[in-house]
Amino acid sequence: MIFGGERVSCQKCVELLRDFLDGDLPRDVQGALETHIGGCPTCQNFTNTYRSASGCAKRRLLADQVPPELQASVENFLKGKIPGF
Amino acid sequence: MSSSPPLVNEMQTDRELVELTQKGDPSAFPELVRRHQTQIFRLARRMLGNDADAQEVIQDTFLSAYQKVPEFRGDAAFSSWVYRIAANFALMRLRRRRIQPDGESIEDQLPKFSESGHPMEPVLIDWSKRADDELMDKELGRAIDKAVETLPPDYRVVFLMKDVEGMSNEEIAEMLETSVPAVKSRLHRARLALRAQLGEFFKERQE
Repeated sequence: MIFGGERVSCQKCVELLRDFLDGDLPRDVQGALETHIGGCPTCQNFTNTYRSASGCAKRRLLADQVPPELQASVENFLKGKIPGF
Repeated sequence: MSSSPPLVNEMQTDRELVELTQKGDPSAFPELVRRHQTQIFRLARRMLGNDADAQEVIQDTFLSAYQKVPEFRGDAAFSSWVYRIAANFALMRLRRRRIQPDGESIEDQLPKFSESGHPMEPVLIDWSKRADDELMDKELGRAIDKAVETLPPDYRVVFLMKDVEGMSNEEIAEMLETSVPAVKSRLHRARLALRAQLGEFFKERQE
C-alpha cells in the first residue's frame, strides 16, 4: 500500500494507531492503514491488543469506589469546615 | 408539623444544587459531594497511589469548591469544574513529592522496529479476547493496577482523563496547560506502555 509515496510499514501503522482508531486521519491515510492492517497479522494483533489494553484498564479503574471509612473521614472533615454540612 | 418537601433530592441537577448552595442552603453541597467524590477519588487514588493522599485531595477539593462556589457562573459543568480543582491538587501534591518514575522509562515499553519498519518482535498472540473474558480475574486486575501505576505521572494523568473519564483532548490540554498534540502523543505512549505490560502478563501466564 502506497502512503505518502512509500509503503505503509508496520512502524508507521503503530505510530498512527491512536489517530487511526480515533478517526483523526485524512480519509486516504485512514484507508491505507485499514488495508495494511487487513493484510498484516502482526498489525491486526497489535491493534486488537492496543484497543483491549486501554478498554480493560478503563473498566478496571471505573470500578474504583471510595472506601466507606474514607468517605466518613471526608464527611467529618467537611462538617468541621463548612457550616451546616 | 410542616409537610413541605425537602429542598434537595436526587432528581435535582448539579446546576440547581449549585444555585441552592449559592443562596446559602446548607443541604445542597453535601449532595454535590456525594455525586462527585467517586470520580475525584479515582483520579487522586490512581495519581497518588494511596488512600491517605487521595483523601486529602478530596477534602481540599471540596473545601476549595465550597469557598469558590459564589464565583461559579456555570460556564462549564460543575463536574468539570470540580474535577479541574481536584486535578490541580493531585498534580501539586505529585510535584511536591518530586516523584521520579522508578524502574523502566516509558521508552522501554514502546515497540521497536527495524530500519525497514518491521517489528523487532512480531506480535504473534492476540490476547484481547482473553483480556475481555478474564477481566474479573484477580491476577489480571493486579497486572492492570501495576501497569497503570508504573506509567510516568504525566502520561498517567492523560490516560485517566481521556480513556477513563472520557474528557476531550482540548479540555485535558487546557487543564494540564499543554498542547493538544502533546496530549495525543502522551495518550498514545501511555496506551502502548499499558499494552506492552499486559502483553508480558499474558505471555508469562501462557508459559
